[in-house]
Amino acid sequence: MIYFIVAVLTVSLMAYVIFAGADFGAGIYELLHVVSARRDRKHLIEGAIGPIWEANHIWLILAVVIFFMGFPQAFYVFSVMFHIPMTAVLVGITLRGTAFAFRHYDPIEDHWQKKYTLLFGLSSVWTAFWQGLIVGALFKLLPVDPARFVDYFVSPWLSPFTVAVGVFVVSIYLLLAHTFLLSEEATRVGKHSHLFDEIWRSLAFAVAAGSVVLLTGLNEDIALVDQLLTSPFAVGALVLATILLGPLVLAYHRRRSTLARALVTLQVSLIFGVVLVERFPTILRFSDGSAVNLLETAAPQATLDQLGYALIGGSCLIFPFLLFLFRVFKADASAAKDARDP
Amino acid sequence: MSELLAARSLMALSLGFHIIFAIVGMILPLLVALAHYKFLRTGDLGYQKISKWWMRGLGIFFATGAVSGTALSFELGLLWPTFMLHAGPIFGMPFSWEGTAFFLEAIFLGLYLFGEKRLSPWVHWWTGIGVGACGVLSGIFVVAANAWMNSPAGFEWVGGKAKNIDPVAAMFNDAWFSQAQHTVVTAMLAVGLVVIGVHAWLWLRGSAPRLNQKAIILVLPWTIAAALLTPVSGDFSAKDVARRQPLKLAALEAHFETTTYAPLVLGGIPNLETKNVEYAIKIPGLLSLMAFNDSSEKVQGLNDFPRENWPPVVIVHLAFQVMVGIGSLLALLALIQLIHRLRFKKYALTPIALKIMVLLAPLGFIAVEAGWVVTEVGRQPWIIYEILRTKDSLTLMPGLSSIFTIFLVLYLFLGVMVIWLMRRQFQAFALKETA
Repeated sequence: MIYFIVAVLTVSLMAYVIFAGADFGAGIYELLHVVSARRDRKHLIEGAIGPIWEANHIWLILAVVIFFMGFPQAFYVFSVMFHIPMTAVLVGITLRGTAFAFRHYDPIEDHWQKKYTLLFGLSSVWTAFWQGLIVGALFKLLPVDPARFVDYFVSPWLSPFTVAVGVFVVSIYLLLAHTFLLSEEATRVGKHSHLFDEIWRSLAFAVAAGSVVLLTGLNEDIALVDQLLTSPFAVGALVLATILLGPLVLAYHRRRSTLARALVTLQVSLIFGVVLVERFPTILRFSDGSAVNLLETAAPQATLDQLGYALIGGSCLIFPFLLFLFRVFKADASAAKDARDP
Repeated sequence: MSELLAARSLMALSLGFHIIFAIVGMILPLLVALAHYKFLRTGDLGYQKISKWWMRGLGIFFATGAVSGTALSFELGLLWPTFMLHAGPIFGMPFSWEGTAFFLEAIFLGLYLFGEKRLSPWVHWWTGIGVGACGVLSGIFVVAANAWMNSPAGFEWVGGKAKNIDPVAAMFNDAWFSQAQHTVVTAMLAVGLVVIGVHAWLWLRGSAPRLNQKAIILVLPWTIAAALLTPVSGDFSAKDVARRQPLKLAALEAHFETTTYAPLVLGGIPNLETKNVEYAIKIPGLLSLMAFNDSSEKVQGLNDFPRENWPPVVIVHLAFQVMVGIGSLLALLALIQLIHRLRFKKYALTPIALKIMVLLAPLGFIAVEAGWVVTEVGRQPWIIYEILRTKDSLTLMPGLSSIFTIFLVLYLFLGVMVIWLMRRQFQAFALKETA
């Protein structure tokens, strides 16, 4: 049962990174264009993420519930040590979600629209960046003494490496969103959209940010980076993710938006999946050599069983409706396309 | 501000903020579906307008509730990590079902808000029912977790650790049913009152009288029913507290001395030094009667319990008085409206009646907030009743008052924004009707 739960946890974290990540990226993308205040961008993004955006963010709630119910020890350390960045993330999530809803439901369209967009974009960048800082910190050997405020509550997540990871997460979210928007745009206005011309910038940003992560990681002697580079599986996956850049460039060039979408999703899953797999089962490692092992510190079997049943039961209820939701809105997009290109 | 007080204030602020949006997200979809149903059945476009208008409000409230709920689920760990360390594996089960229900609610909401042109009319309507049903379910599940904190079950506490954990027994704890039924009934009342109040206010200002009348008449039966059920539901809940948490009952009533024929204390300010309630009206025997169905029954007083286990008596007593006072007033007015309806075959919707409706609008929410103060502050000093103290589960992270300030500013900002946006909704509504 525990492996099943870990698998669901992994899937929900991945789903969050990809679906919610694309939502965050949409905000970042809008922010980059807020100066030109093009209204078509707003409608493009609302059309793309509007119907499913609430659902996209619930993956995070699912993950947190699995964490505190199934793996309380890991959740405990995480909650104490990452109080500051988690607070920053929560403030960002709150502002972002409300700004999006306010913009959508404000019945009077005036200069406030631009302010909502600005807030939506800024909080998207902010949240993504802080999430990256936390992810970066999890690569490191963590401190053990909470009495030393800066060492315990600040240093783990604040270093050139974690900042690089923060920027990398922002860039990945942007690339995801930009690629996802290509298909929407292709069905909406055809394949001559300037979105295709701009994609190179988003791609270059992500590749550059990824390289900086690697460099700062080697420079700071980050434990997990070394580990990743010595594990054949991890090296294989990372090499594959890099090789896939070739087909991705080709897909962008040929304007094959659906293929590009699949490739980007695969690449992000590979990069993120490697980190998750290599961190299993010792999710947190400390500077004194101790660690929190997910398997050893899991909740009692009775709890894991109930959690497993709830996840199975919940999935059986959720997935048919989730598929229906995606189908209703995707079918509509292709129907619109058919109507336009007879 | 001490770390403990900062953490408790932040928790209270987050819960108090979230609950407003959460109960609107639970109940308003059902009202939207009701108006939508009338439209589909009668073809009356007025009902369609009403349902669409409420839907816009729902969008704003649902989104704010979703993000403040996400924040809350993390804050439990950020502020009370020791609590979550012990409680997570025990009371996580209702959270996992709440997550499921909420996920479904979000899916249905997406279908309902954006699917009008893509679904057949009745399928579209059923997705609206799905939003409401899943909203109420997720509320009921999450209350199970809170009820467990009041009535811990499903484990043995041995040497500061939980043993023999049984999550099913924890979820079906003694307090769940009584807390859940009271939450749902009062949520119906609070949301109904606000909807009626808003339409009464718009009507008084002269915009769209027929639409506003239609909306009020649609929601009145629902609200009257909820108002009449509330005292029954509250009485059930109070009897449950009397049985499970006698100290909490004593604090609610500011009942100091253990006596038979215990009096019901109305109003007043408890004085902890003289152990007396000043300026209060006392009705002999009524507390015994209400708590145990027998006026000669003995009711335990605060003095029977060690002082360090007392909750903050003054706050709890006053909050309880506010809640019960509002509940009684609303039940009385609902009864008057009901009699008027039966006697004259129509509701009282005169300008004076409408003005009263406007004044009543916020009362339901005030009572709900007071009720949560009663539950949460009334459980203090325990975070898990008689198992773990709140102060022992506090995080090691220092400087919590700054974090509290950040969230205070954030929630104030959002609160102001929501009110301002709702005003813009009313403006747009008025413009549309006069155009």
